[in-house]
Amino acid sequence: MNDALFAASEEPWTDYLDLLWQAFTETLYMVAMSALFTFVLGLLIGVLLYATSPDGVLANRFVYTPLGLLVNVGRSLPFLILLIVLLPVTRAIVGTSLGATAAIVPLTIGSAPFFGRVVETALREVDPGRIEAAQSMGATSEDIVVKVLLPEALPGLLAGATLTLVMFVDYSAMAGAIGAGGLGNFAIKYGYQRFNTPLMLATVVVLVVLVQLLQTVGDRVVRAVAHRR
Amino acid sequence: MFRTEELVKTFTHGSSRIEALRGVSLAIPQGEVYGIIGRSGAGKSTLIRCLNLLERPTSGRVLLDDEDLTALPAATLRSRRRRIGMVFQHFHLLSSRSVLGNVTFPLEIQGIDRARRRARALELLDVVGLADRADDYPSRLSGGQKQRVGIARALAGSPRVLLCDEATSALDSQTSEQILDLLGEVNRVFGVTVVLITHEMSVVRAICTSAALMEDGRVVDSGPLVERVGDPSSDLGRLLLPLDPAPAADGERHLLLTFTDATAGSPVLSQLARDLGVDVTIRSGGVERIGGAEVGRLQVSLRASLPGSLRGSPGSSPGTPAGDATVDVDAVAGYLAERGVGTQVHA
Repeated sequence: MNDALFAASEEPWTDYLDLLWQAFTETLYMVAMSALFTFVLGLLIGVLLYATSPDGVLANRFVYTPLGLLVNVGRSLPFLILLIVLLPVTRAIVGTSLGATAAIVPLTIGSAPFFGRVVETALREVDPGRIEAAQSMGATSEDIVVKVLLPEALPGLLAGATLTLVMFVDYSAMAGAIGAGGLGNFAIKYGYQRFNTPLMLATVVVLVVLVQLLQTVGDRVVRAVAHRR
Repeated sequence: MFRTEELVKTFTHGSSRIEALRGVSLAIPQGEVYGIIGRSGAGKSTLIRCLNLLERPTSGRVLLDDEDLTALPAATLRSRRRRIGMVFQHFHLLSSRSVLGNVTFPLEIQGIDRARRRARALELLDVVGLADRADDYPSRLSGGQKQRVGIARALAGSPRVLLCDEATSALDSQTSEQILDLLGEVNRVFGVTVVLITHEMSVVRAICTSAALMEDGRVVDSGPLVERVGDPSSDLGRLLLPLDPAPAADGERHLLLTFTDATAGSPVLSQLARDLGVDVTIRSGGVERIGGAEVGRLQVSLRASLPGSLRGSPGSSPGTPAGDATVDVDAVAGYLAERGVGTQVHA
């Protein structure tokens, strides 16, 4: 059985190392760019959700309720469906629905609501007494967000960011399947469809190493930040 | 300097309503160490949080130097809050900042430049005795040290008043004493008015000059401690210098006497015995230093010692059973009152 599989591929998997490297850089590019946009957007969503929640510093249900609903809708759509639904939006923003750059749009839109909730949860962990202390000193809401909330929640935010980064590797592989390039695309096109199982396994190993690396670095950073306080 | 007028605060949680403050009018004079004492749930925490509007009163006014804080727009209120320092039971230091960073924080949000905030913060850390811990993070400090940082932080913006919300309740008794000493020093050296709430009478005795007693959302007694202890009918006086009341024997009349600075050192009781011919027996009481003055509360019983000296049975002599000699308690009270002693007759 195994022999049959391996025999089906006439080319040794090492011939594809150049292409594998290219796919790897594409994945890194997708993950990095979508992470950048997601972190900015997610921070905004998270801070807004936290601040406008009924007991927040800027309690406002006309912002909180619709935003919360939007976030929940975003999170309940399966990513694969979101990818397809967003094709016209991607085309409008990037000009094409193919390639790594095009994948950044659905990756960001699919992950920002998730990261927004992660941010909101991390901010909730901050002792409200510290916010009150800042208020008693005459801090503005902006001071409170920038100088109290975000720095105090930093370990939680970094842990959430690590979680999200790892999720991007997973999602970018899925995006790869419908034409975004990267390791996911590579594994399917050259490994699966050409019956080159060793090549597919090599790709999986690269993915595992990448995820492991992201998680380890993330954990280290979180520990370094938390240890300092 | 601080005044509240008819403060009412009602909390509603679903269908249940909690009336934390039921009309509190209080005047806190400049330069005092003012204690607000009461059992938990009496409303003292809500009251102190209303003073800088961390809690908005349901109705009533809060006046700082005759300016109504409740009527100020948000930006003006923020600038007024910079004149009011606050110290918390659980310190509420920022874990993301060093000790120095915590003390410079209020100056940073006031837009003071880096060099000046650093200089000011180091100066204050020196005052609270933590200059050598400036670069440590709060998690490495003990409770007492954290509270010292809290006090330095509250003083950074040179406030005129310091609000202390159970500032020593999370600390052991020895540390608590040191923190109270520090607060007293802050009051004396910087002339900062200190308002502190506590459930421990010992805190009031240790550093307060005036106090208010809260019960069930109301202030039931308030004023300078010396005056309160000197008033035999004062609830605060009773709590400050508690008496263990002795039962009156047959025919004995009991008097509650209160002494303040002027009278505590005078031999008024022996004069009383000589002038009016009464035997004075001290049944319970004590003399202590409270609010920087010597004050005393005594429960005494009286008996006539000389026949005919006071309206009583003519034939009685020293050692006669008490029932035979009655003393004109009102005359004694009048004699003492003339000499500045507070009196209250007990049946």
